[in-house]
Amino acid sequence: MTRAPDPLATTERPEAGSPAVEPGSPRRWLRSATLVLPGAYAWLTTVVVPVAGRGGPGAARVAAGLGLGLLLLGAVMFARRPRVARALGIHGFAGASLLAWLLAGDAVSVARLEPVRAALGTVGWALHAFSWGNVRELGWIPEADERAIGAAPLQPRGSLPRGAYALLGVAVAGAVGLVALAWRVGREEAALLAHAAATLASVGLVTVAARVAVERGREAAEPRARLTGAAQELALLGALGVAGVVWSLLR
Amino acid sequence: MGRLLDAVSFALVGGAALAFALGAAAIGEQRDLAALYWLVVGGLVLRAAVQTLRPRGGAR
Repeated sequence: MTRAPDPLATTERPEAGSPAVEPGSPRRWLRSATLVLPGAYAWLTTVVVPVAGRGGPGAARVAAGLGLGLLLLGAVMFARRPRVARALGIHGFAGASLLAWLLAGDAVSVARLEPVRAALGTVGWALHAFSWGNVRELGWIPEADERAIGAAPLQPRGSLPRGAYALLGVAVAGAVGLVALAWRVGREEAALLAHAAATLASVGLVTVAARVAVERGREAAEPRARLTGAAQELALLGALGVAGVVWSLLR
Repeated sequence: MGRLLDAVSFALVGGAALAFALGAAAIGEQRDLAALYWLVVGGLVLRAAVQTLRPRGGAR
């Protein structure tokens, strides 16, 4: 007896959501270029420049070259073996770049950091991450895929509570403001701490705001339980408030 | 009462943003102790915002 093919099988096949692309076709080349270019740009600006300069250790150069090799190999393999290609192009490339930075020593120290190039490199790394994602290609209809399971469209179970977008907007504005404040820190030794703190605070702020904005619409706990649940944090905040007032009076 | 607590939760998120901003500004002004103070306050306010909305343990 033969078994019907499993539509959800996750063996190495062309990406779901992408049409089959002929080898050597312009679309294939475009896809490979999309995979390589952002990573190559990030590699050039943040790995090659410090590592290939004067005083850069040979081992770091080898690791940097390995990173580019893995990126190119991943892009070439992407159409046939997407899972392996992603392992090479994302994890292998980032790991080799990290190794190059670790081996480079003082060549990538904060004192030698060039802010504009570092910012451009950050954009390159972000684009690299996006480029390895899988988006629906122009003209491709997912339902036309032979592996698609036919069913009625899923309807949203509800709408967002009132004020959700406003709260999220305030949180995003606050997060952007925090990052901007971190860039104003002039002291070299404190700037890195400021950026780390601002990034953590921004992520926490947006995460909690999104949670508060969305969960407000769900079935809420009893007011008494909500107050009791926050009692510990509110008590600590009260104590910190008193300590802050006393401290400012004593100064 | 529930709506008031919702509003408190909203306000706490705004308060956390303000506390974090004061902390980041304090780092720039070399007031390290004040920076630490405001960052801790910000973290606690954020946690209070979550707990006010949905307390731990899911008690009803």
